[in-house]
Amino acid sequence: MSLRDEIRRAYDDVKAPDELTERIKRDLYQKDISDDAEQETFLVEEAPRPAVGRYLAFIAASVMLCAGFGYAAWRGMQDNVNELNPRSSVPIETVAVTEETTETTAPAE
Amino acid sequence: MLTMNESEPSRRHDIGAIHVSGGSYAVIDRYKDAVYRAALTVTGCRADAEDITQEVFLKYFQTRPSFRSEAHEKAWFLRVAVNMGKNLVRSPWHRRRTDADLTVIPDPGSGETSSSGVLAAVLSLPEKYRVAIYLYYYEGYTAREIAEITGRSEAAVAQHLSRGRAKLRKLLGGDAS
Repeated sequence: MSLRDEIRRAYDDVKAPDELTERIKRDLYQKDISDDAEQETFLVEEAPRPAVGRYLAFIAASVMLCAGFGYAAWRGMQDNVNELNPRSSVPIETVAVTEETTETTAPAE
Repeated sequence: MLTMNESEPSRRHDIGAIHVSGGSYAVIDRYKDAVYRAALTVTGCRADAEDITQEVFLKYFQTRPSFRSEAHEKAWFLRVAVNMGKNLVRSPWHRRRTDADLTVIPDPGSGETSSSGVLAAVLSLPEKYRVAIYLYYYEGYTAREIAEITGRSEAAVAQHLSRGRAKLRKLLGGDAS
């Protein structure tokens, strides 16, 4: 008997067990069912729609709040610049005295 | 000539979705023995061969590849079985197993020339030799086709066949022509 024939005869006796076939079919069947169930669940439970309105409202409120803070800070900076302008050549005391002088030296009729 | 790749065939269904109809089970009956034999040849363990056979059909039903011919389909099954077997044999978990877990085949040195003795002799060869021997002598593939199935060069397959044959003759007592 040739080597080929001997190997053929040896492998002919090797067969997948019947219970393995049944196990494969059962496993595939169960997988099939579970996949169908998952698909149904997915179809029933739709993903929640994104809350675009609330998101936009939140963004707008944040922008407005930031703008308010920014405007207040800018105004505060402007006020500070006016009061503490180092390039001003007129002393504050002088201004006050001048006003008083103006009042007292009003021309008399 | 066989040209194939595990990931090459076009997929008719999304991965993960398994759709099995009654008619699809025919493919299991058609290729279960070939897949089991290939897996047993690579792993040398019946339990591992059963697990691999199951995995191969699971992969088939997950990917649902389309084939040009029945030969192409069979070659795909054998290729996947061989690759899965190789991955299993090379896994660290498999290497840590004791020899007692893997002993399922009778000792080839017992001198018997029955079919189980020949099978034991084939399975006692190194993995690359026995896969080549199985695909060449039992499945009837050429060295070129075996090279495509196993992902090796044709020259390497020819060498594996030659050395495997010599070792097998030695194991069987030189009476096999």
